[in-house]
Amino acid sequence: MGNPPEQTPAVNALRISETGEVEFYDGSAWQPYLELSDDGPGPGPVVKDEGHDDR
Amino acid sequence: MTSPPSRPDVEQTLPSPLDSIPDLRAAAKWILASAGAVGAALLGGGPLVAIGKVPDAGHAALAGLGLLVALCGVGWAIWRTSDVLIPPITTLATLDEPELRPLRELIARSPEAFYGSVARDVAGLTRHRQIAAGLRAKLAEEGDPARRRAWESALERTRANIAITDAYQRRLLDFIHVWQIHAKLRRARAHTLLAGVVVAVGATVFMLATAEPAHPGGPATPAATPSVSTAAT
Repeated sequence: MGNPPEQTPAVNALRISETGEVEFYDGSAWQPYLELSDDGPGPGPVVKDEGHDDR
Repeated sequence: MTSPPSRPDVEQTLPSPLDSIPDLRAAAKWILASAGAVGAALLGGGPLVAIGKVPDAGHAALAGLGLLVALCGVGWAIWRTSDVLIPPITTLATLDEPELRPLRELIARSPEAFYGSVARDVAGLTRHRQIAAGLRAKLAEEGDPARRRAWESALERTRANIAITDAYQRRLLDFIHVWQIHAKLRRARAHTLLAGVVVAVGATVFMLATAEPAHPGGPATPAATPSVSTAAT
């Protein structure tokens, strides 16, 4: 008799790994849950032509 | 000791996508004004032109039909264009709608322009609240002190992460909102073009029905000019 097949965890399911880290399931693999480092936005898409206003 | 650099605020360092909405709506108002002017000309001028030129009831019915078709075209253009002025409801799920495919392709080509370095997709932006809820549930049922500390530490991280990703979510929502209005405007322009064809057909029918009837037997022949004989007798 083999072990029952392991059920796929739900996306964003949580667990504590053997090393004591909190991990979440991202839909394909378990990832450590870390604090994000934000480098800030880039120049970004242009949304308005400032030189054109003939309303 | 140097203090860590403050985190750039996505909301303050970049112009809001919402800034472009007045321009989009102004374009829609121009289309509405043009359609309204055509409608006014048809309603105001058409019946006046027709008075006294319709020879019988059949032509009158045809003129009325042409006028009705033309006005339907004008109404169609106004109906579709006024849709641009109605604010759409926007959620992140709206990004999956077919009309936003160009925006999805744009995001796929340069995700860093929309998500910065904090995520690669919408799921990456939105997962932190769900993880926070999951962590609270874990904490509620956890008895082991060491594991509780691990859950609590992660919960602290979710608060910082939510603060960062919320700004990007708001900016993405702004983009989706603007794109919805942009898509409506593009659709309105296409419909206005088609409505213009309908107006032209209606106006043509109207003009044919109210045209001066041709002389029976073809164009009138010019009367013979009297000639004066100058022959000396």
